[in-house]
Amino acid sequence: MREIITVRKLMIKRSRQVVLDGVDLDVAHGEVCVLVGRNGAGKTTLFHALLGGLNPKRGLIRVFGKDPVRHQRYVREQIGFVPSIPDVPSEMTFNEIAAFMEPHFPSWSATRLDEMSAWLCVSRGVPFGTLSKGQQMKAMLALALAHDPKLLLLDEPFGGIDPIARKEILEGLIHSIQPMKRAILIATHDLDAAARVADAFLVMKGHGRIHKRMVEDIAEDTRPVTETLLGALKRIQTKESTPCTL
Amino acid sequence: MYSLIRILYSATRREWIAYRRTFAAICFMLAALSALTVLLSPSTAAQAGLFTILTTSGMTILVTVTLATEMWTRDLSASSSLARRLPGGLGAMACSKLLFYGIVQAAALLWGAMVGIAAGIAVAGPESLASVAADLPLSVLPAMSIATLGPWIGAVTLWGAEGILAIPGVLFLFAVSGVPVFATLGEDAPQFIQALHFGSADTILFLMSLAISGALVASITLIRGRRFDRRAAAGACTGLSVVALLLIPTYTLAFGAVRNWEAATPDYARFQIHGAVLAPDGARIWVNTRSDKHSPWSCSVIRTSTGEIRRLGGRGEMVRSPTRDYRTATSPFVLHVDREGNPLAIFDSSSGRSLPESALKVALDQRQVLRLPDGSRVTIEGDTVRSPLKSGKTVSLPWYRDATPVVHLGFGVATFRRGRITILDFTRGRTFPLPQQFVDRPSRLFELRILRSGSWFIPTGIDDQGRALFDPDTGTLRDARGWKPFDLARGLYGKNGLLVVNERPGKHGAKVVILDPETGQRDAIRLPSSRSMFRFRNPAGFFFGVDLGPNRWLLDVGPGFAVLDLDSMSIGEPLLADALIGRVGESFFALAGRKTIYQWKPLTGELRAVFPR
Repeated sequence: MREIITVRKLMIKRSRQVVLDGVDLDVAHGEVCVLVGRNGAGKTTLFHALLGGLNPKRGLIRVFGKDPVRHQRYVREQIGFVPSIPDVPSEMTFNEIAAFMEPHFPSWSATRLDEMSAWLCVSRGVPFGTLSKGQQMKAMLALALAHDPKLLLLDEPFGGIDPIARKEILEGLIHSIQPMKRAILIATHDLDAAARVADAFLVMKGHGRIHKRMVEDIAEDTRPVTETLLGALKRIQTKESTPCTL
Repeated sequence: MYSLIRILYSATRREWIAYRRTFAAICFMLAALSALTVLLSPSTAAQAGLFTILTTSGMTILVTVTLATEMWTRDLSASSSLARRLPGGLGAMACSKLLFYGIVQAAALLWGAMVGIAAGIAVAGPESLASVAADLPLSVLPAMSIATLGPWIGAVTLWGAEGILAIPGVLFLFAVSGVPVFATLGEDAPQFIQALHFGSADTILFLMSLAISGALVASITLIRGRRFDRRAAAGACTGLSVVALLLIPTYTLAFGAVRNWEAATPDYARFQIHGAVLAPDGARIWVNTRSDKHSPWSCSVIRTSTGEIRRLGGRGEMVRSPTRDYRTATSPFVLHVDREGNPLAIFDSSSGRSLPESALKVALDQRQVLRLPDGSRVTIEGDTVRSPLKSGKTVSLPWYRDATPVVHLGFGVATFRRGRITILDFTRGRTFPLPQQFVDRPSRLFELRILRSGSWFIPTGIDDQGRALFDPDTGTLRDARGWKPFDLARGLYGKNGLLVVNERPGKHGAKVVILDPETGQRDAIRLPSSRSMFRFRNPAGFFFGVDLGPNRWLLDVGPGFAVLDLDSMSIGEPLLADALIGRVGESFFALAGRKTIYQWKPLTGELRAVFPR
C-alpha cells in the first residue's frame, strides 16, 4: 500500500515547549484514520506540521513523499484542511472565500464546490461570521474538498455542533470518500461518529506517541468501540508507565 | 505567471474586502471635514492649493495609521490564518498586502486631491484650479513621505509593537539608525546636509528607497521571521537583521560620501585655487576652489604643516575674511558663506575651531582696516575711526559700518554711503565732502593721494594727465613738481614720497621713481623687465597688497614676484608664482599654477611646497 503520510521520530517544539516527540505515523492512500487523544496531546500541531506550517526540530515528515516544509506549495495543493476553529475572515462570504482560495489550487473545481455546498446546504451569500458553528464547519468542509484533495485533514470537525449538523458533515464526508478513495486524517473526540468512517484509530498520548489500531482488530472485540479504544490505551499506559493522555 | 497574478489579485481583493469599510469611512470623514471647513472657514478652503495639500496629507495619514498598524498582523491570529496555510503561503500574503497598501494610498491621494479641489471650486470657483495645479507637487511630496512609513510601521507591528505603538516604534528605529551618522558628522552635520543639495528628484528617490527598504523588511519579517508560527521576538530578530544588512551598504556609501565631502575634490587635475585666506600664524590656509571658471565654487582648509586638506562645504559655498583689509592680509577669522553669501559658520583661522557669532561682531568692531604710508595704524572701533596725528594726538572721526566701498587715499580714505562720498583726512583729523574738481569726474577720486604734508595730490587737465596739489581747507591748487608724462602713480611711501612708475614701453623698460611732489625730487631704480608692475604693498594708496612694511614693496616681475626695498633701492631674487596669499614673519605663501602653494622666505631663498605634498 502506497504511503501518503510518513512520520518518523518527529519532534516539534513550540515556544520552546516540546509538543511532539518521537512520533511515528503511516497513513496509506485511501486510508481513513481517526486521531484520538486528550486536549493538548498535539493533534493540531501534527496537522500543522503535515501542512508544512511548522518546522520539525528533529525527525522526518513526508507527505506524498516530499518534505512539506521544503515543498510547501506542492504538498498544500493536494491537501484539504478543515481547522478546529474556522480560520477564514469573518467578514467574507462563502463565495468570496472560494474566490480567494481558488487561484491557489490548480485542481479547483467550481462544479465540485457547488455540488458539495448544495449537498451540505451551505449559505453562500452571507458573511462567514454570521453563520452558525455547524454551518461554518460544513462550509469549511466544502471549501476543503473543492480542489479534490488527495489527503483530507479534519481537525475536530464535530466539535461543538448539534447532532443534525454532525450527521450532515458525516454524510458529506462519506460522500466525499466514496468516489476518490482519498486518505483522510480526522482528529476528533467523537469516537462513535468517527467509527462510522474509520479504517484505523490512532491513539495519541503524551508528546504525541501514537498507537495505531485497525478497525478490523477492534471489530473482533464485542465491547463498544469506545471501550475498546480505552482498553488499547490502558495497555499502552501499562507498557510505558506514563500518564494517560486520552 | 498567470496563476501568480490570479493569486495576487484574489489576495488583494481579499484585503479590499477586509478594509473597504474602513477606507470608505475615512473617505467620508475627510469629505465631511472639508465640507465643514467650507462652511465654517471659507477663507481656508479658498486657498485651494494649500487646502489640497492638507486634504491629501490628511487622507494619507489616516490611511497609514489605520491600515499599516493592523493589516500585517491580522492574518497571524488563529481565527484568521487561512491565507497562511494556503499553497501561496506567507509570500503571497506579503505581496498582496504591499500591493493593496500601494493601491489604497494612491486612491487616498486621489480622493484627498479631489476633495481639496472640490472645496476650492465650491468657495473660489474654477479659478482655484490654477493654484491647485501649481501646488500639486507640494501635495504629492508630503503624502508620499507619510505613505512610505507604512511598510516600516507594518514591519514594526510584526516585531511586537502592535497597533498605534508601531508609529513611535518606527520613529525610534529611525532615530537609532541615524545615531552613527550624527556621531560621524558631529557639528559638521548641517554643513554636510547642506552640501548634499537635495533636489525634489533626490527627495523622491530617497522616499522610494525608504519605501522599498521598508517593504523588504516587512516582507522578510513576515515570510521568514514569522513562519512556522514563530513569535514576534523571532520576527524582530529577522527584521532587525535585515535592517542591519540594509544599513551596512547605506552607511558605507554615506561615510564614503562624507569622506569625499571632507576631502578636496578627487579630480585633482581640474582643481584650481582662486582665493585664499591665511591665518595670522600661518597654520592654516582657507581656500576657495573651482574646477574651471564655469564650475561652482567650493571651499576647503589646508593645514600648512602637513598639507592635509579638508572640504568645508558644498557646491557654491565660499570662505571670506570679514576682517581683512586687503586680499593678501592675514585674518584671524574666516567666514564660511553659502552661495547667496549668507554666513554659515565662523572659524578661528589658526585653530580651525568654530566660533560663536558674537566673535565676528567683536572682530568687526575692533579690526584695523588701514595702515598709513608711514606704517602707523588707523583703527576702527564701532562707529568711530581713530587715527594718530602728526602731533602725536589721536583723532576720532565718525565711521559708518555700512559705508562701502572704501577707497584708500594714502593718509586718508574715501567712503561711499547712501550716494554720498566723504573723504576722511587723517593728517587734518577732519572729514571733507567731495571737492568740486571730483564732482563732475568721480573717477579722479581713484587717482587722489593725500600726502603726509596734508596736500591732496590730484589729477588735472582735460585728459587728467597733469597733477596738482590741492588744499582742501582753502580750496587752492598749485602745480605738483617733478611729475612727467608716462608717470603712473602707484602709491605712497613713508618718506612723504610718491611712488611712481615711469613706463616707456618697448624702449628701456620701466623705472621706479620716488617723487616728492612738494620739492620735485626724483630717485629712480630700473625694473628687471618692462612687464614689471608694482602690485602689492600696504593698502595706503592701493587696494591690495602684502604688508611688507612702509618701505618695502613686492614687485610683480611677471611671471613671479620679487621684493623691492626702497631703503636700499634693491630688488631681491624672484619667486615664480602667479599670486601671493600672504605673509607671516619672513615667510610668504604664494600660489603657483592655481594648484600649488609654496612657502617662500625671500631673505634666505628657502622654498617649501605646502600643498600638495
